[in-house]
Amino acid sequence: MALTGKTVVVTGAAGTMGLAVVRAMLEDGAQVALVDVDALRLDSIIRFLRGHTVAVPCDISEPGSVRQAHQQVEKVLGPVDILVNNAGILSNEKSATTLDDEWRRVMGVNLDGAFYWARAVLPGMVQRKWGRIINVGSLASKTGGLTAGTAYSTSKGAITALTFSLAREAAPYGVTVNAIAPAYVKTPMVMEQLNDAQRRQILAQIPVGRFCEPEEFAHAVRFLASPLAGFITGEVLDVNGGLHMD
Amino acid sequence: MFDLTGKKAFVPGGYGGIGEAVCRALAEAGAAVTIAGRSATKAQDLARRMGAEGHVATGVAMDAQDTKQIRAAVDEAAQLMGGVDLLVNCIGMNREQKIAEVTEETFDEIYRANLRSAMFLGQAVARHQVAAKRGGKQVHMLSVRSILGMRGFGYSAYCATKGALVMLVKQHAMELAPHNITVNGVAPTVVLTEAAEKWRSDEARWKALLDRIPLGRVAQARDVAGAALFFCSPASDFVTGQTLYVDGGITASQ
Repeated sequence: MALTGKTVVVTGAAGTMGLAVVRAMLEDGAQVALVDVDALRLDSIIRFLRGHTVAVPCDISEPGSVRQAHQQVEKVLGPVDILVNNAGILSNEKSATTLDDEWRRVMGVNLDGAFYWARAVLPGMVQRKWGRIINVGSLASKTGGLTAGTAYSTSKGAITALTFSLAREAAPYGVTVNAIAPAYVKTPMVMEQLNDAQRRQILAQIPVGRFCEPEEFAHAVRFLASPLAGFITGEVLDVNGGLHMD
Repeated sequence: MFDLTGKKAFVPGGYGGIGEAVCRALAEAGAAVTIAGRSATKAQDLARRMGAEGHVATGVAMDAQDTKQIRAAVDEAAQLMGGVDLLVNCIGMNREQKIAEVTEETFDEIYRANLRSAMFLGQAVARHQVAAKRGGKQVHMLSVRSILGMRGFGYSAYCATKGALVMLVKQHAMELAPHNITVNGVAPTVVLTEAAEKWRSDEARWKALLDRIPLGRVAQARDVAGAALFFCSPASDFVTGQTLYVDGGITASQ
């Protein structure tokens, strides 16, 4: 299996996309740390997973919490080889209605959390001359957000820049850093915010005529984590059914 | 033949007397189980106890009166377990009202609990089973009151809804057969659970009940769980649309 012996950290692991990634990584033979702020849900999920896993409750917007969680992962599973910065929260508020707290909350999880985790694991990867960091951006960073709001779109734009910056820094040491820019993955977070009319309207705009299955998103992560993608770094991979082509 | 290793089961009403026996039977056969019911605490408590015994189980909240909650709970279970192979619907309720006293509210409440929830549980689970293309098993709890009226008590809503389940099982079986999903019913007589205590407290009624059961006793929860396990296991792969009476011989004698 492609990832036998590798240790993977997946943030937002208790969500639909995160869980799909966790399952894909386990299928590929990796051992997986499930990081999520929802300890209760993590506890439920972990019971049904086969393979080597550990549940790590962590508020990734807090640098101290990330440091602690990172130590816990290394103690149980060993050094981190692959980081999947999947955790994210959505805000549809446009600028005028984005409150201070909302802005900080979205930036805290979507951007700060990804940075804190990358900063924690990168030195080890560089030292061992192998690593993969996979960030989750969004189509919103390219379009300004079709339905998504200002804080969300901005945070995802920053994820693209973070990806480029880390990729440049890490490239000489066998560490690749890439991002995936999905659009309209079938998760409760994305689907429940849309009414039927919006859903139909968006579907009409997606050339493949359907929303993205969580497993299809996970396939992209799987590819970027695998040896097949060793020469790819600083790339933002669109997974959007043709909704946006550039 | 009765091995359920790797199967994922969703058991609404799973922390009731019958439900718990079903959950344990499925888990002992190797299935992972999600227990659903109105009380998340009770569902999670049972899951925790089963977990301590080495089984794989979790609990989710679901009010069977609310179809939205049914769909959400099934989706949640599918997400947690990575699919749903088995449904054992253990939801059922009764409120006795004689024909002159039956109210619309009570009748509708029992209809929603016993019949409508079965419809939409079957639908929600079927969506996952059909998409997964691995076949599947659905089992509903019926009752001897699915074919026998009840003398001397107010049972209109209960008998009508449990009777309708016989046909719902048959029709779901027809529509899901092309997907290799079987649908069957388990129809017990009174089962010795906490919910049946009201029967025992009335001595005359209890004696009359036992007198009518050829095997001379009421059902134990495990009698019912055994039938559910059969319908969930490969042993019943060629059986669908059937209702199995677990009744100590009552229906054979009447």
